[in-house]
Amino acid sequence: MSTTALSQAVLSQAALSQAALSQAEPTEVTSAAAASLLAVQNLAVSYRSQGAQTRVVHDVSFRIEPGEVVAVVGESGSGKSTTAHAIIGLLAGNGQIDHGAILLNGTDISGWSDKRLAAVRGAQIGLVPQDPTSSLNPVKTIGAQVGEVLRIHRRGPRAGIRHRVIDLLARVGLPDPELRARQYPHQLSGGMRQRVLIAIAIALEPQLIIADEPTSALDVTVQRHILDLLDGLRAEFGTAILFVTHDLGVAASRSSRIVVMQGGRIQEQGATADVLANPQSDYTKRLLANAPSLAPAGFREARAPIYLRDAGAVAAENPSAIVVSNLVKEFGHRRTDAFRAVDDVSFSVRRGTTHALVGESGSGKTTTARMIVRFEQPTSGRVEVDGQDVAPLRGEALRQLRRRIQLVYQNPFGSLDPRQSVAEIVAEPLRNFALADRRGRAARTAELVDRVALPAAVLERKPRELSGGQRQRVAIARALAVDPRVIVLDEAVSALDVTVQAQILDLLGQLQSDLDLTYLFISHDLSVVRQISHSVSVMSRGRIVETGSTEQVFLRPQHDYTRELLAAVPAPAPVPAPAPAPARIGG
Amino acid sequence: MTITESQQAGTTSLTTPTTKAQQAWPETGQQTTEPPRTDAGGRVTEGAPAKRRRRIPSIGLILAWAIVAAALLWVVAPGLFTAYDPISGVAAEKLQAPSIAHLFGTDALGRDLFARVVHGAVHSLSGAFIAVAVGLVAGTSIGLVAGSVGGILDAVLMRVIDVLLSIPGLLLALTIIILLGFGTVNAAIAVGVGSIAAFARLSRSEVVRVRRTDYVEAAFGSGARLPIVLLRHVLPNSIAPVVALAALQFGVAILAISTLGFLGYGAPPPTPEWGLLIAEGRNYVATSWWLTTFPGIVVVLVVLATNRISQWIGGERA
Amino acid sequence: MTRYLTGRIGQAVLVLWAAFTVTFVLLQALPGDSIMIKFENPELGLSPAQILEVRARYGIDEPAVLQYIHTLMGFLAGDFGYSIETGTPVLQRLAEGLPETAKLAAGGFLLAVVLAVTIAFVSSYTRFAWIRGVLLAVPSLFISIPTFWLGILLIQVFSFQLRLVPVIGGTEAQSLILPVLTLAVPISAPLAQVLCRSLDAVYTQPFVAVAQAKGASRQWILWRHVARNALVPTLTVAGLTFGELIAGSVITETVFGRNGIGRLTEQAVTAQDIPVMQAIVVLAAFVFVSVNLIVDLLYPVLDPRLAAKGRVAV
Repeated sequence: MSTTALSQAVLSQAALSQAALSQAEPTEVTSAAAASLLAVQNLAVSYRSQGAQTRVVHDVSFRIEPGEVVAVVGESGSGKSTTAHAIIGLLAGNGQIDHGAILLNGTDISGWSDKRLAAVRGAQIGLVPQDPTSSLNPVKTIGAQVGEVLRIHRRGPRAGIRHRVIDLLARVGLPDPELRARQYPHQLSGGMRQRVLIAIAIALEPQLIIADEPTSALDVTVQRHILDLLDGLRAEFGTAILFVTHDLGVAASRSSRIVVMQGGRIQEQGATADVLANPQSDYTKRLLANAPSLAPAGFREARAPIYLRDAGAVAAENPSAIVVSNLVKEFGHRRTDAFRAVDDVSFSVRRGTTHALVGESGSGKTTTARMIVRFEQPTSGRVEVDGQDVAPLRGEALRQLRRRIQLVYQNPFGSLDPRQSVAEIVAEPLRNFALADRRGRAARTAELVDRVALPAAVLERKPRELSGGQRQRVAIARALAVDPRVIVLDEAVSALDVTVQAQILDLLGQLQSDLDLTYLFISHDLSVVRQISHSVSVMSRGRIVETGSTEQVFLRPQHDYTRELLAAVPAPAPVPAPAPAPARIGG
Repeated sequence: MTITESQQAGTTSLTTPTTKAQQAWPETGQQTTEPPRTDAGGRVTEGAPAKRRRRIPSIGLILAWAIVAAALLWVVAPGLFTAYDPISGVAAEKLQAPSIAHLFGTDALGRDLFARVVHGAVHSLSGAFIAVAVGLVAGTSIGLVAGSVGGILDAVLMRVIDVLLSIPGLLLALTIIILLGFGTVNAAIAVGVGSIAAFARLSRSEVVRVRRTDYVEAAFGSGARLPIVLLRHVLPNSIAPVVALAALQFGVAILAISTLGFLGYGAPPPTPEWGLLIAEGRNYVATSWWLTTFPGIVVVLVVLATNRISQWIGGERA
Repeated sequence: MTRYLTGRIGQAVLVLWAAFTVTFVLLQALPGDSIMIKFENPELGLSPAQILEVRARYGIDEPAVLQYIHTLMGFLAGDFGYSIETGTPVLQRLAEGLPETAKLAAGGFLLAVVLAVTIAFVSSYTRFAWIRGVLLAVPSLFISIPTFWLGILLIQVFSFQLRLVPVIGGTEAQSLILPVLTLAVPISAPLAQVLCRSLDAVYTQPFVAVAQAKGASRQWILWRHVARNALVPTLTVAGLTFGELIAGSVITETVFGRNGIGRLTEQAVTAQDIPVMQAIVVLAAFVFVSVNLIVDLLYPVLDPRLAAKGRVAV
């Protein structure tokens, strides 16, 4: 009762203020803001922890007009998500709005209690959260969770709600909506769950949807479908979207205006095309420069193989650092439920080059990499590293293999022992292989840390005192300690912000040319792969569907799956490809 | 992701709201706790490196340490705290209410109750110490072997632990007392056997958890052999929760030993064991309330203190 | 699902058999002639012929393996042998004590659940930090109190000081109040702790934020989203507290002088009545294993994710 009354009150109040203000002077800041669907003015948010207030959003102001898509772009720690959540009053328990106004249709809702905001949430502002796997209640059916928003706001009788739920599920493109409504979240894929969350967000046809990194947890092809869906709904209902993302490519291809945030402050805002074509702030320029993309810039060309440069060397040297042939990995014991994670994979990597294994989650790329470094035992097939088949190695022979091939992990938080100092971490391989005495180890450790461009001061620190990028440098230094010939990089830059990512990629390139290293680069990110690799294998469902030089694969893809992958990558430049959906945002 | 006001109010909750906000709100990562600060899609913050956490110990924790220190001093030097004899009393002063002369009053034989409590500490605490030692050594060995060897041995050992768990602790202790006979040390061993299962399960799960981490695999990747990995990485990273459990079990053992003492299976009279003190005072509940009340309060305070310290070892320090 | 069910029941039977074997080895095989110490005591004045008869009755002269098989067969048939102390069948003594203990345990468990749920939900829902702080300190206090002391303290306060509950006599309900309270306090502590922790953990789940973003109120979120998700870990702990419940009734019945299984246990230990003790231990293990089996089978009902997997990772 009270909820409905309240929401009506809010609506009428909003309508009133809109009507009243439409005649006001457009030059006046507040009235101009009030005419907008949403106007955030001088918003400041801080978190309280251990008695100290830390401000994470400083004087942020921006507006969203009805039906508009505004992207808030920034790296982690930029305050973009905090800003978005402050708008609907969903700050964490120790967060608070220090000052500023949040005008929804001209009404300041920044100081509202939870009770008052409840009438706005869901009805006027919808939320699409970032992690579809944990954003649905695992013990309630999909239908119940979509219907819930209707029940909370008391829209229609029980039977009516059921029909509406089925309609909504059909509208967001879920096949067989009646079945889906009866199912539980764990029975749906990530992309389907995100569609359910979108159905929840649009159920009451709100004027504004806040989409907080809605596709970061999804594969690139799924991401594209979800973004298309949001575009379509925007066109259909005229819903405005506030798009929070770290991905400049997504922001560029899907928004009409961009707000760039860094360190809790807005660095720049404006029409998307303008900001991209003519960035004003240094930070935006750096962000644009660092963003890996499919856009021009040359491909990495491998140096001519040594047998072309020096005919005499051909007999002496094996041109391939890694040769994988007919590699298979099956999981599961019984023959009936054995699952082939890697299915007859073959490729080779020429010495001193970077080969990328690209694929979406579940494609078998990581399992392949782990078999090559022999953390996983192949079911069958050969893996040659420097001409030696490493698949049957065991015991001491396997241990000695680690001197030639090293692995760098995706998560630099998990791959360093939290109780060791950086010096101990980097020196560990030297100790294990008894490569130097105590003094020699110290000297070599200092040299390695310097090699990955870290200050000597970090040697005594523990991993938790380092930033993500610094930790990944430490992991690389450890990998270099034994002078390996091959380094396998398993999503080694995927967990890093773009600016840090660019620095690490630079470092890797530098090390490769200095030390003549061979890289096997595992990644889901095509734009990074395009930038760093000489050759590429595309994996899907445990098989390699296409292999070739990077240029070949990116410019003249042979396989449909490769084409689909490439088409799905959002580009920061205005999209050249024809828009598949009629409701594509211009600009 | 976000939190309702229930947490807003919860400044004294088990986990601090700050930690929760950390997990929930990656962008608030100005101060750092153990879980990585990651953005959507697992992006890692480059931002300002985290500072070392510095905590001011809470009053409760200081108090807990003070109580444990006092109890230990009672064990080492009871004479410093009381001049009265705990065993022989003055018949003329029997059943006196607490006063300046007799802080906790006197019992039916005219013995000073405070003296008996102070001198009793050695029995209760050494018993608890033996019990924890038995549980820690046996349980942790089983857990470590099961966790690091794995396979069939792991399965067999854990089924044995299941069996130990299926028999209620007190009944298991009583069974062992029947086997070994009455007495302080036997009661302590019986209590210790009851805690083997808890130690074994925890240490196994810790070893298994740490063994699955990337840094342990990375250690193998840097050429380390199994014993080195266990010693250098697995043990240091899995020890804290086990130590915390040991502290917790110390309190549990004090309770269990006093229970066995109360039932008459521990030290024989006139030993001033805490449980026995309460059992003896039981006959005078109607008239001499202090005989049961004071020893009980001492037990509660010591157990509370060890629990608080256990919490500190397990949660706040690690 | 049926395969899961039979597997799980088989595992329970195995654990029970192992528990029987362990106690048999501890109580009967290892001490050797401990039973005879009692009967050969000259004070009893039994003639050698009578002693021989006793030896035959308790099967003492059989080899250990045969004794084991006979005892096991007896247990399977519901024959637990004879009490050494009274000479009556163990089954009879158990049957006498069981109703008393069942009443006490049921009352204690129910009160413990009520206490735990109250503590957890009030502390989770209150807007006042101090109430939450006080409530969250209660479980740690509860587990630090010796059960026997609590019983004595309650008698002291309610029976002797306030004279609210008679020490001797009184109706059955009156005689149950204090024992039930004594038993409930230590049981409620772990339940309250796990429930508080689960509630807190569920509140940080993103789906709670999504429910908030739908416009749900605090009550709505607590009852329709958080409570059920917090139930599964609580149920696990509730199953495990049944061991505590049995141990607790030994102490409670001794303190309050109630003639139940707990009192019987105390008497059996004092009198070294091994057949009675073995029967009690096996009975306790049976109750514990059955309760936890039921808990395991309940998980899939509460959490559809577990229905798919058919097993629970603990």
